[in-house]
Amino acid sequence: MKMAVSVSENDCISFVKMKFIDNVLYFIPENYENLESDYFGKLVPTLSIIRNLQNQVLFINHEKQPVLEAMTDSDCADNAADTTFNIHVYKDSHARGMAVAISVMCNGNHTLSCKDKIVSFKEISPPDNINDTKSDMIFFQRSVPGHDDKMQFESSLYEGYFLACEKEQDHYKLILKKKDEYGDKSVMFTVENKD
Amino acid sequence: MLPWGWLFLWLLGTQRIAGLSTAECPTKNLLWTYSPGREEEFVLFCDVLEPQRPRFSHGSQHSPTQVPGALPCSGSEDLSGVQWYLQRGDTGPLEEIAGGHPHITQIKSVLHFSAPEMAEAGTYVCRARIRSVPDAPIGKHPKFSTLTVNACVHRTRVSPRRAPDVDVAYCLKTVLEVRPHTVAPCNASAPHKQYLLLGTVGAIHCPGLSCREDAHRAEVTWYQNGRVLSGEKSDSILVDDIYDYHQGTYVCDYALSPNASSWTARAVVKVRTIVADTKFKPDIVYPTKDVLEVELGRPLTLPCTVRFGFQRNFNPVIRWYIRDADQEWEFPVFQEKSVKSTFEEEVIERVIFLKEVTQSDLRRKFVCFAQNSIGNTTQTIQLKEKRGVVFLYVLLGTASTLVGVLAAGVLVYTYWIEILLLCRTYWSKDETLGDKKEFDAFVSYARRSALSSEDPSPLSEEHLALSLFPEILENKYGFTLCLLERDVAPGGVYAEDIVNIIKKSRRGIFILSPNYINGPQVFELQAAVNLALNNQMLKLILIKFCSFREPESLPHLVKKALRVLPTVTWRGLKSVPPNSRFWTQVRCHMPVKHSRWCAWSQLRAVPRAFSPERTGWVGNRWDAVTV
Repeated sequence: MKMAVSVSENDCISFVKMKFIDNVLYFIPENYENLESDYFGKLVPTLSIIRNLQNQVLFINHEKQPVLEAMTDSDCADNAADTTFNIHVYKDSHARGMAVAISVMCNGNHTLSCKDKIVSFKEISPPDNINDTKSDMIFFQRSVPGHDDKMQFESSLYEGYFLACEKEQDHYKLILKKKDEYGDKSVMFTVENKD
Repeated sequence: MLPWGWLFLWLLGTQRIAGLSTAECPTKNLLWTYSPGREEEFVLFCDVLEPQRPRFSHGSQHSPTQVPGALPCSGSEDLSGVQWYLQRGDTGPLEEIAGGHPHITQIKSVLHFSAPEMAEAGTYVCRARIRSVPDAPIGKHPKFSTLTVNACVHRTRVSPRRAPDVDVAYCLKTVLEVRPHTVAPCNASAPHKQYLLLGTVGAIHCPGLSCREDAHRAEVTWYQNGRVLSGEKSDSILVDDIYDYHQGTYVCDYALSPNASSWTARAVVKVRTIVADTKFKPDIVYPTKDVLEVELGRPLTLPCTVRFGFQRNFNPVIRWYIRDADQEWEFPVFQEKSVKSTFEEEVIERVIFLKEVTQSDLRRKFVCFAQNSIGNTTQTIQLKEKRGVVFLYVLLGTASTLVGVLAAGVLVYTYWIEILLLCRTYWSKDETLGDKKEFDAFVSYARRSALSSEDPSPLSEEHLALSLFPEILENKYGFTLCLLERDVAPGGVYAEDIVNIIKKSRRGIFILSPNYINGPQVFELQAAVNLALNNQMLKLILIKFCSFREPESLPHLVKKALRVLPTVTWRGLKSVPPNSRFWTQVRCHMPVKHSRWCAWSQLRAVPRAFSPERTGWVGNRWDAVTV
């Protein structure tokens, strides 16, 4: 079986000019036709409830922290404002999976962020466009192989790090961690769409 | 003296390590029974299961404290520089196994045997250095890994203020015996390749034990990917929710017989987590359309990309066929590769290569055929010639020609009468002998109106027409002229007479002036033009007596004629003498004497005729070539 590799004509970009501005070298391409800057572009959102495998529901508490707690369905419905999350799907210039941002409307729009590997809510709406391939607010939602109802959220900023549920003292909170080699169910969540 | 002493002691120490007798290493006896003909794998671990005293330490006084039941983790981060040796027989040199053996590979600290028939029985010794942290309190929070499959202890590192890290050397001697099965294993023996269906419940069985009746009582040690599964002790591992991380190489060790001297049997199972077999036929992702545009004479790479659903017994078939009229044959493959491989699907691409696309290739049909055990699909593709650049030029040429023809047509249509008159004037043959005409020329001029009381001066049109023309053209040059007053019998209908005369004349001479143009005689000009258009033998000559303005009411034909027809300008007294240029030019236009020296004066008249914006006569632009 031969493995032939050839460079297709469309892989090369010709540059016509370059310029040094502020210690950064900029290039001007011959034509912008096939070029697209790195970005995430927001599409439509869906309303969902996120639970972990122990059936604990994710919600935003009074201190604006992401926590998980067991809730009955009626409790969940009563606290709909805190438990209903907006999952915004983004189109990605560098397709690696379904890029999403998770936000909740509770006294203002709060978006989940994993900046500095700490999971917290930022008091902003998910931006319409992000000019980068990495963002602290964007996660890749992928299903667990063989278990189509279970999802994992990998951070676009820290590769190999996933949103997970961890017990801290008496409550459970959402953290960012590296997946355990030998099986880790704390990174798996179920997403129930409310539409 | 003292340094020499230390040196001697140190040398002795190193000697002791090199000549370390393997008798002091813990020994393990392993038996590998294999089924001949079947593919089987075997592994040897360099794992330290029992606490042992270090052989060489840098001065630490205590042996590393061993928490009962806790094992130092033999993960790769702790073991460094594992070296395997083979010792044939009880005594004999230690041979290093370092990649020279074709069927033995060392991956990290584990020795892999790929073919049972080629495996050598003997003593395998492994030497390793385990980085052991000197005894520090275990700490308040022993960190157990979340799934508790390995109850080894990761000691917390202590700051280097205490005794330095100790590199402790371990060794392990494994006596390996390889034996084929003497008795065929029973029907229920578990295979060495097992599959677990994702999302369901499953079990991993130890192959060697499944045939024994006392299997449930056996004490089995299970390993997954080199790590001990301390929670599993029975002959099969029950997995109650299968995930992708359950995939791997599992090893089950069990005692051969309770009374036998510490012989352990080992079997290796390769476990794969899979999804359910697909129920669908393969799906041809590319090509999607029936037609592909190609360039003749250029090479062509034609891929066929097919998506297959997962199947345990996966036998994908992709083929390219060529169908030409009635025949169909397979095209030799250029390249086949797997583009994407996941748990759920496999995308394979088969590429064929045509060195040069020929005309016959355009007539053939290329068929991509994909098959799995559920069914097959095909996609037919036809090659079509791409409209090349040449075609574009041809198209452009045709288009411009058409436009040109259209423009020419429009021009011709607009200036038809001018063109016709010009043609008749300059290019039609002049016959005087063959035609049945009576007169050489017919002279038309404005008749003095009844209201005018002027005496006809020598310079009036009438004088020119009735006196000068006959005098010079008839008497001097011998032409025959026709004048209405002189040659036509009175009493006839004016219009009919005019038409008759013009028909009988070879030329028509018209003396143009404001009186003529605005008067009734312009009818004569109109009739003459009509006749000239119909009758090729009639040519018209215009004499510009004095400048005038073309009235709006002038007939269309006359206007056109005035633009195109040759004009001779009357320059008053200068033109009176018979040898003046005027008469020369007139004579030029008269029949018979169509000599070549007239040609240049005729040609000068042509550009003047084609200016369409003229409302009046522009001054005669004859250059000063006086005759």
